[in-house]
Amino acid sequence: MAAISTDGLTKRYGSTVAVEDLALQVPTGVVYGFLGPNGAGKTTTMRMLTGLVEPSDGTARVAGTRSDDRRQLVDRIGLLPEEPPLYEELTGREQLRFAADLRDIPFEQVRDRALGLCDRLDLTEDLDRRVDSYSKGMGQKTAFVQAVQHDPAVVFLDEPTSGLDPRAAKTLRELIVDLAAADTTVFLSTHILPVVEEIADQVGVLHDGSLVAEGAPGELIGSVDQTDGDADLEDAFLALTSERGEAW
Amino acid sequence: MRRSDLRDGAVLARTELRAQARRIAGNRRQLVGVVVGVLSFGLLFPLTFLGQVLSFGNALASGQPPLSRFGTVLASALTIGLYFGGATAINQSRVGAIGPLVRTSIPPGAVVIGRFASESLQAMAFVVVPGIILLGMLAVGAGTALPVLVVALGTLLLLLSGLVVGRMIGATIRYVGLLSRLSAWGKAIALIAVAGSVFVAFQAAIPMIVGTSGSSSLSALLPGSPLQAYASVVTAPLGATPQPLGVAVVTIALAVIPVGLAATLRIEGAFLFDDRADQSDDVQDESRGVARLLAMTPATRVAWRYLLRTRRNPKLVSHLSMVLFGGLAFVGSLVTEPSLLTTLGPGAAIVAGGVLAGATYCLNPMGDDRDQLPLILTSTASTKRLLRGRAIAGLLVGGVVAFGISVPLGLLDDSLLRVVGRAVLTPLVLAGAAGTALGIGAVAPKFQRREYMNVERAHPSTIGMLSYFFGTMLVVAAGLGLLWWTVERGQLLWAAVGWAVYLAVLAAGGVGGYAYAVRRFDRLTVDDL
Repeated sequence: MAAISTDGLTKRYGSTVAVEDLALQVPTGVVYGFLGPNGAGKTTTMRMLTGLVEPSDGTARVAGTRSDDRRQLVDRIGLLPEEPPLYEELTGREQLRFAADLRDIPFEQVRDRALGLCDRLDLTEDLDRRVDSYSKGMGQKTAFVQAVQHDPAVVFLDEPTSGLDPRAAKTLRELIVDLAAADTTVFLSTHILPVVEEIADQVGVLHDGSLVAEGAPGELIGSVDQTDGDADLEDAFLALTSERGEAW
Repeated sequence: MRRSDLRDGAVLARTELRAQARRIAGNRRQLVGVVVGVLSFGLLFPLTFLGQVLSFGNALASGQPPLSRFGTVLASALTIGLYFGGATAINQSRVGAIGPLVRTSIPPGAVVIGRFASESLQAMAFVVVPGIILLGMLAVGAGTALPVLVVALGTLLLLLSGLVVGRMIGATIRYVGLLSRLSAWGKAIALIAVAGSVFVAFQAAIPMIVGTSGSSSLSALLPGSPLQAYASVVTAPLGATPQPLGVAVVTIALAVIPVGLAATLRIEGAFLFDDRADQSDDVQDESRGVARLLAMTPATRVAWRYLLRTRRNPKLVSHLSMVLFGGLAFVGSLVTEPSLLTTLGPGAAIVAGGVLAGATYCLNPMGDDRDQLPLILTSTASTKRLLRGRAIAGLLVGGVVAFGISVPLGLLDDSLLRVVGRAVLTPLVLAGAAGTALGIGAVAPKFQRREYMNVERAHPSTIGMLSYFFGTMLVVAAGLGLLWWTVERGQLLWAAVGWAVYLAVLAAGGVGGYAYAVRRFDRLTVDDL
């Protein structure tokens, strides 16, 4: 069964179409790289899939439940939005406990997993500092742990490596791969194409609200490669998103 | 100051005004609010003074200008200028987050000039329409243009002087607050203490000013009648004899504009590049476990987090300053009538507790958490837990005030029966108030950040807040009245009917408000922001 499936998913804001007739099939336990230029509709798609925004048309199912059924959905997903949703006045540890309380999960139940993640992300020593004293990267790490500490079936990550130093970014990439290995589906939106090329099993490219290409990174690269195998995902991305851009 | 500073400041002011106008025009509710405000205040307010203004105009043209009446007009203009100058300096409202761009693009002087001009014009916009209408009415009363010109120029000068001096005082207060090493709560308490002292001192001074006759005199408030003397100079072209004191006041009014502007430029210019506001002494290494009393359920644990956050950052409850002003009014009354402490004190404490129970955390529950909504809406099957947590936190704050003040005061000078009666009534009104506040917060949620009391966040709706304050006061007062009637009159049947109706009203507000909030916020999406 697909972890994420959409059928004719559309979002309009007045006369502006943000996402149009999107059909996705993301298998369970993969890292799905979701790419697109600024304003392509990636964040809107992610919001529809997580129930933060209602679609204008079409349906979406995530982890076997409809995305507009928030009661069922919340137990199965985790979200790291572009801006980490943290309370500045709480410490990192208090924030993680708060997130567990929101889900009605005793923190003791997720403590080992949460602290293990913090340890790998080199965050443990800072957990008792208040979030308003955190750097952007530390906030990002805390929000990542918050999004996955309850072991969700599907995780949505919007620019997860934003603000992270190279070491932390590498650890996060490894964590994402580990999540997928443990059968968690990771829906990864980022502009850092080498990251997607390295860890994504499948890639979808969104342009002007429509899915213009989908497949394994190698397939996408092969589909546009007119050189001798020197092309990479960046070349594929530019080729896939420039044709329509030039039509403007 | 260089010419280029003025030019850059003008560009900044024009841009901010344009952005503000577009923001209002793009928000239908805000646009309607502004139009209604301008119409009601701009048209109705001047009309209420029609008779007085016509007669004032007539007197001005008679050759013997009424200096006392003109002095009152001037005092109003000066007060308005001082208030708006001070308020705009303290509440530095801006459109967008372009501070760093502005600070690195144009000189500090230009930034201060631009901000001062744009904020003053925005603040004074509400005065323009009634001002023009009042001058029109004055022209009708006078039958000639000269008195209108004299009044307009004389008033405008004092308005500008007040604006500049108010801005200078406000900027100084802001800067002193920045420099002080007090914690955030220390600053808040210091501000409350200063405001309270001024208010109470004023209340105490009123009997001395009014005297025993009961008739107040403006001249008593203004020793030497400087504004009347100023009026004598301004109205010299209309036949008044200029007084020497008036000449001095005119000179001062003219002088404070450049002097005040120069001082404001220095203070606010230094403020622009001082990063001490970002260096909080409150940030300490600490993680606090949930207090045992509140560790029982997820909702109580959520409540604990709100209380903890407030303990660390008083700005989260800056919207309660309105309640504070109401409390100060009561404290001021105690100065003139100390016996009120035991007669009205217990009831007033329950009113305050009722207001705090809902106003502290429930009047804008989702707007207050706007930055965390992606977490909240993807973590909770229902917003019930969060809303209950907010209500519990509010009940604890309100309960401490209501019980902590009302019971000891009641025991000082009241019957035990009434003390017990109030103690039974208190949790009921507090719970009703918290639920009602959640309902109001759901009817009028505010997600846009705005500056209020120098705090930029999504403050509750002003109309919602005022409705809640006055509604709570009324309902709690009705409950206290019913309690008094029950205890004193002892007509059990009628008392039972009264209590049945009263409790039904409380339950309708409390349960209905809570249920509506849950229903509304469970359907909330990011599109609603």
